[in-house]
Amino acid sequence: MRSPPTSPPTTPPARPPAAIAILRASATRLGLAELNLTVAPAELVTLLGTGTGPSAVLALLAGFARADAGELLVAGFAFDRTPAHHRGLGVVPRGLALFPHLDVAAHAGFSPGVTRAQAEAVLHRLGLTSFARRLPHQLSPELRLRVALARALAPAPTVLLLDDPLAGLPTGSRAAVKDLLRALCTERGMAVLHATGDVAHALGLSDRIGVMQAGRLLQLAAPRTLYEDPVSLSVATSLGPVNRLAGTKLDQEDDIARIRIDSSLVVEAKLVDEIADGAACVVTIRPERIAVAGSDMGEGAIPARLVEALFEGEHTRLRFALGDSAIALIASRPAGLPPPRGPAVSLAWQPHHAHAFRPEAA
Amino acid sequence: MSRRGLIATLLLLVLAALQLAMLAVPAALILAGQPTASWPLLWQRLVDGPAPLAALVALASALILGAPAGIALWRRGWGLVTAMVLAPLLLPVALLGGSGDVDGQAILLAGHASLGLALGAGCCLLGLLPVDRRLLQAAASSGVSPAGAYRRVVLPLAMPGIAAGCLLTAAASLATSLVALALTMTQGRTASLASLPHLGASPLLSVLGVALLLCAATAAALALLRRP
Repeated sequence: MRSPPTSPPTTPPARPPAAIAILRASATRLGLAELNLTVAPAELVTLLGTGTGPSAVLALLAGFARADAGELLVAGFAFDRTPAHHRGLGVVPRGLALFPHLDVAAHAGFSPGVTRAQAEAVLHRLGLTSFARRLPHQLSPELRLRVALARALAPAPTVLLLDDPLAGLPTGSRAAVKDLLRALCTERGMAVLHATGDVAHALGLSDRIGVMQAGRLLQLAAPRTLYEDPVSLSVATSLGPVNRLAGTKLDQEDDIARIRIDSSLVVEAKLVDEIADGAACVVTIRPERIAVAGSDMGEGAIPARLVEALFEGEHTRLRFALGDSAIALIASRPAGLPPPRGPAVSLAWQPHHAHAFRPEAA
Repeated sequence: MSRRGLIATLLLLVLAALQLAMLAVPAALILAGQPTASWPLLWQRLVDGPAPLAALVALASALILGAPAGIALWRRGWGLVTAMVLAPLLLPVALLGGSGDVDGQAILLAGHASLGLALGAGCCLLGLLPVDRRLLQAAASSGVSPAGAYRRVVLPLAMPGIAAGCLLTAAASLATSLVALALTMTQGRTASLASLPHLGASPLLSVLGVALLLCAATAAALALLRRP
């Protein structure tokens, strides 16, 4: 269905079933390639990527930028030509964009049509009642974010756009804010689209994450899937720390390949891209997937030297040099376990925890 | 409060008191009708001439044209256009003098209106410069129309700048008229564009030439400065 509100519609869409859908939308001026994305009610989807890609998608939806091709459907309505102030979406802009001259209560009641009771209810839900008369600059970063949320949520939107709301928050309050955002998403049944460049902001918050690079959506999946089964090297490296080993493929058995990474070192990894025998490839392995033992673990284990052990709180970060070479590998070990004894150790991992990709142009 | 803080506070209060006296003493003298030097005569001439009307026109221009122009310049961030709007500030004050003659009054009022526009727009723009333009987007996302966003967000934030612009405009307009009056008192007329040649040999062209040159140079400098 396409309803065409070319001129400002007399009434904004009255609470249709919430779902964001961007269909075949592209915007070359924003550097966005064709994009196909749907967010269901009560679902929180994060667009993760460096550069302006994720923010540009939000700008398209919010009406701050125009798509040059394709359809932009929000909750079943074609929004391409609807001006921003008739879209009826909740938006928390980058940097929050709070009004410096208005107090907290005025933010909650800013949208036209928001009743006093609605404003008070949203302030109460967000724990802002006792700050109602404060100005934005008198509040902590977390409270400022809550004010921006109150402004966006007071008119009860079915779709909420968040442009990196966790940026600038102290790490300590991140978990609490993520819990709050998830709770709001569920209890209001909103479709939430969140843009960020920081994987730490995306994990622990999102139902699904879409990894973007150079204006393209590379993979859209549940966080665990992205983390454990990335479809490309870019996706693997954008989801947190990962070791990269350059090597040459020797042969394969089913989808497990043997890869030579040094004259004397051969490792096993699951093939993601198709790679010919003898071709160059890149192996990725996450630090926590590497088992460390003091003595030889038998066939397939790699001899290594411990170079450095850094205590990082919940885990210890171990830096190794493989074999006799200078190839570095990072492993992490839960802090409860003692660090390995002696510099000479052996390392091993399950072949399907490592992935082999075709090298990408830098 | 620290000792330095105390000294700074005292200094500020002393300066404020001196400033107030600077306004209050001459005003009291005038109101009391004490003839000090040529003050009352000059004052009388000023009030009798077109200066009050010119000041009113300048003030209205600062409010009606200047403030919206300042907001529009803030919204668009056009450096070159900003320089063009502010250019009349470089005109030598004598060119905008108040004339007792009727001839040239339209030009005179246009000059003051232009002065008001420049000062009003400049002060408004300066006041808004630190304001994030994304506030307009935030307002739009909240369902507020562009006009509503200007009324509820931009205008309140621009108010201090607009007020400063009005104050400066009124002061600058009166001062301009006063300078022209003082320059030409002996001849019984004042400098307007038409009567300016009385001041010297052939000043009009050279003054205008220099002014134009200064305008162009400043416009270029401002435009370059605003490039990120």
